Amino acid sequence: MSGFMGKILRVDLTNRSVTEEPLPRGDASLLLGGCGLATKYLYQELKPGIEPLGPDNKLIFMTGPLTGTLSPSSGKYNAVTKSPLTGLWGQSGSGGKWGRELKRSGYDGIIIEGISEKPVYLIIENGKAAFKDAAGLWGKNVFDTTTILEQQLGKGFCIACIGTGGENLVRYAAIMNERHRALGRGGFGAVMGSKKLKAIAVKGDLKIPIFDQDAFGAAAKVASDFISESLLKMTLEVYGTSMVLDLVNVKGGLPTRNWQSGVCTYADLINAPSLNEKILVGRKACYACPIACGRLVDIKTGKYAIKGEGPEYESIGTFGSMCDINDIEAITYAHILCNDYGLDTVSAGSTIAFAMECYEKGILNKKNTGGKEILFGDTDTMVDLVHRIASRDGVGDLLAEGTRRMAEQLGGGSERFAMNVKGMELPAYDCRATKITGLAYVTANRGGDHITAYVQGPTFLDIPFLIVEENTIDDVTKENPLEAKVVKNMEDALTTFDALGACKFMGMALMAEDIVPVINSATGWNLDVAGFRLAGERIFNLARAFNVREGVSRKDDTLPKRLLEDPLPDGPAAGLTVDLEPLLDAYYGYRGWDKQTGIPTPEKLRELGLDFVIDKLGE
Amino acid sequence: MALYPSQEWCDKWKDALNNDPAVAESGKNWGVGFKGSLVFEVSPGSGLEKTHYIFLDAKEGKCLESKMMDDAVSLDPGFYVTGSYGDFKLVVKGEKDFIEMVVRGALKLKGDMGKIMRNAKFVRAVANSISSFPNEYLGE
Repeated sequence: MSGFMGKILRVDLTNRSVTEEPLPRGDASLLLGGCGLATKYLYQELKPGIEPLGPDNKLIFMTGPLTGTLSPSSGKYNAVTKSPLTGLWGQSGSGGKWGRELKRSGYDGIIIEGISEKPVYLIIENGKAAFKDAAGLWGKNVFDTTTILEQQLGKGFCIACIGTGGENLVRYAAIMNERHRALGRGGFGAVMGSKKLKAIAVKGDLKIPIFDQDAFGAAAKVASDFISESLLKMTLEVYGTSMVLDLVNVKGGLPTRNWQSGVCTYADLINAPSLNEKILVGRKACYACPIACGRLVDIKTGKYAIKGEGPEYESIGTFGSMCDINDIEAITYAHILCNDYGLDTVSAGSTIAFAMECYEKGILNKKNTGGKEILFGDTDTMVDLVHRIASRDGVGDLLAEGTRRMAEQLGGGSERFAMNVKGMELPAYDCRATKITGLAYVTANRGGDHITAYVQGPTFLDIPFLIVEENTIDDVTKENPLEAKVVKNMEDALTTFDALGACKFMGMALMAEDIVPVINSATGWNLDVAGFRLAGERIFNLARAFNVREGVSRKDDTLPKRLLEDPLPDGPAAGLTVDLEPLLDAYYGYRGWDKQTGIPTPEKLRELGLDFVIDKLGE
Repeated sequence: MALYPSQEWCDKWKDALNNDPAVAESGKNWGVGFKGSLVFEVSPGSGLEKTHYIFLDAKEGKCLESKMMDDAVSLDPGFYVTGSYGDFKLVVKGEKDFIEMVVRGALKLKGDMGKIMRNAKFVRAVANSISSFPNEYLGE
C-alpha cells in the first residue's frame, strides 16, 4: 500500500514480546492513518473504564501517509492513549525527525501494551525490534537519557523518552523526542512511565513507497512553494509562535494572573521581539519544513543561564502572564526545565498559576505548602515549583495532579478558577475576548485545547486557515450561533493533519485543493475535497464516541465558571463573559449530534461509516 | 523630498512601486480575481492634525493609482489598513517592518487575509518601497 510501510509493531511489555501485524488497509483509507487509525485501535482494544496508569491501557504511536515524505512539514507522528489527566481520549502529535525514522524503520506504528516488571527501552531499526535493560537510565532526565542513548547506539538513532516527570507519574508528563519536541498534552509521559518504558530509539533507511513519484513530487513542490512564499513562513520564521502574544494582548485576551485579567502590561518584555533581541541564537526546522519556527536560545549568564529550544507562545503565556512573570529568561528557563523533566509546559505553567491564586486567596497557605510562599510574579518560586512537580516533592505532589484534582482536594471554591476543561489545562487565550474560542475549548476531544480547532486563527490573529471552508468570524466579541459551524469545520479539517502526519500550520497557507493531490499521488487513493473533509469528520466523531463510552455527555462540554460568569475586569474585552449554551446547541446541530446529550446520532455515525460504534454508545 | 502625507508623496510612491522589479515579480498574481486596492487610514498624532486616507490600487505587479483623500466613504477597497501617524511614520522611515507592525497589532490589516497569506512577498515588497525614497514628516 503506497504511502505506508504496511506493518504495525505490537509490543507486549508484560511478556517481553514483539509481533508484527499487517496494516489494516481498509481502516487506513477511511481514517487516513496517524491519529485516525490509532484511535480505531484504541477504541476497539480498550475496555471502557480502565485505569489509564494500569496494565490495560495502551500507548499507540502512529505515523501517517505523508510522514517522512517530501511533502512540506511532514515530520509529524501522533500518539493516542487513555489520558491520565482527563480520563478520556488522549491524543498528541510531535514534530522533529522521530516520526520519519520510525516509518523508515519499517513500521507505520507501534502498539504498546502491558507493563514491564523492570525499566526497559526499545530499539527499532529496519524491521527489527528489541528490548534493552533501562535500569541505568531510570532516574535520569530527558537530555541525559537522549545523550547516553545517542552515544551508546551510534549515529542516526532518534530518541523519544521520558524524564523523571513521567517516571513519577505526573499526570501531565510528556514524551520528548530529540530533547525538545514533545508529545506534550494529556500525560503520555506518565503512561509510558507507568509501563516502565524509558525510551524508544528508532532508525531506518527503508524506502517509503510512493504511488506516483512524479505526480507526488510535482504536487509536493506546489504545496511547498505556497508555504515558502506565504505570510505564515515570513512571520513564523522570524518570530516563532510567540508572534501571537501581542495580537492576543491587544484584544484583551492574554490570560494574566491566572485569568484574573486579559491585559498584560509588560507584554513588550516577553513578546517575540524581546525574545529575539535578548536570547535567540538560531532557528530550527522539523523534518521537511520550509518554515523553521523552532527557536534556539542561549542565556549565557545569571541564575537562569541555560541553552536549548523554545519557548513557544504557550509556554510564555502560561509561565509568563498567567504567573505574572515579566522575565523572559526565567520563562525560558522554566520551559527548558520542563523539556528536560518531560512535562507539558501548558499544564505545568497553568497549574503553577492556579496555585499562586489559591495562595493569594488563602486556600493554599504555609500549612499546606510545607512553609512555602507561592506568590504571583515570583520567578524563583515558579522555577522551584517546576522542580518539585517533576519529583512530586512537597507541594509539588499536589501540583503534579493538575488543576482539576487540585481543586477537588483543596475545595474552598477553587474549582471556579481551576482553568481546565475536562481536566486539561487551558492554553493562553481568554475566550471571553473571542467568544467562539470557548466553544472550541469545550468540544475538543482531548480536553481544553487550542490546536484541535485553532479557531484563534480567525479570531485573535485575524488569519484564516485556507484549508477550511467558511472560517470567518464577524464580531469576535459576540456569540453568534451560526459561527459554531466554523469550529466544526476547523476541527474536521485540522484533524486530517494529525492523521496524515503533517503540521497543522500548513492548513493556514494550503487549500484542500493543494493537499488532496499530494495525498492521492502518495497513496493511490482517489480522495476528493469532500472526501478529505469527511475523513476528518469521521475521525473526530470516532474520538467523541470513545469519550461518550467513558461517560462524556453535554454536561462535560463546559467551561470553568470564571469564564461563564466573571466578566473580564479591564481592557478591550472588559465586561465580557461567555454565553456558551446557544453556541453548543448550534454546534451539536451542525455535528448531527443529539442536542440534549451531545452524543452522535446513529444516523450520523452510519453516514460516516462508523456503524461499529453505534451499539457501544447505546450500552 | 516629499512631505508624508501629501499627493506629491503618493506620486513618488507610485513611481517607486512601478520601478521596483521585486514588486513586479512578486505581484504577478495580485489583483487577479480579487480587488487589489488598499486604503491606509492614518489617525492623528505625532504632528498629524486630522485623519487622512491614502488609496492605492495595484494589479499584476503594477501600481495603477496612488492618491491622498479626505475620506474613504466612496471607496470599497479590497484591503484596509489602520494605524496612527506615529506608527506609519516608523514604517515610512524604514525603522519598522510593516509585517512586524501588523503582527504586533500596531497596524491593523483587514480584508481577505487568505490573499495576503498567499501574496506575502508582494505585500512586503510594497511595504519596502515605502521607505525607498527620502521624505519629510509632520511634527519633526
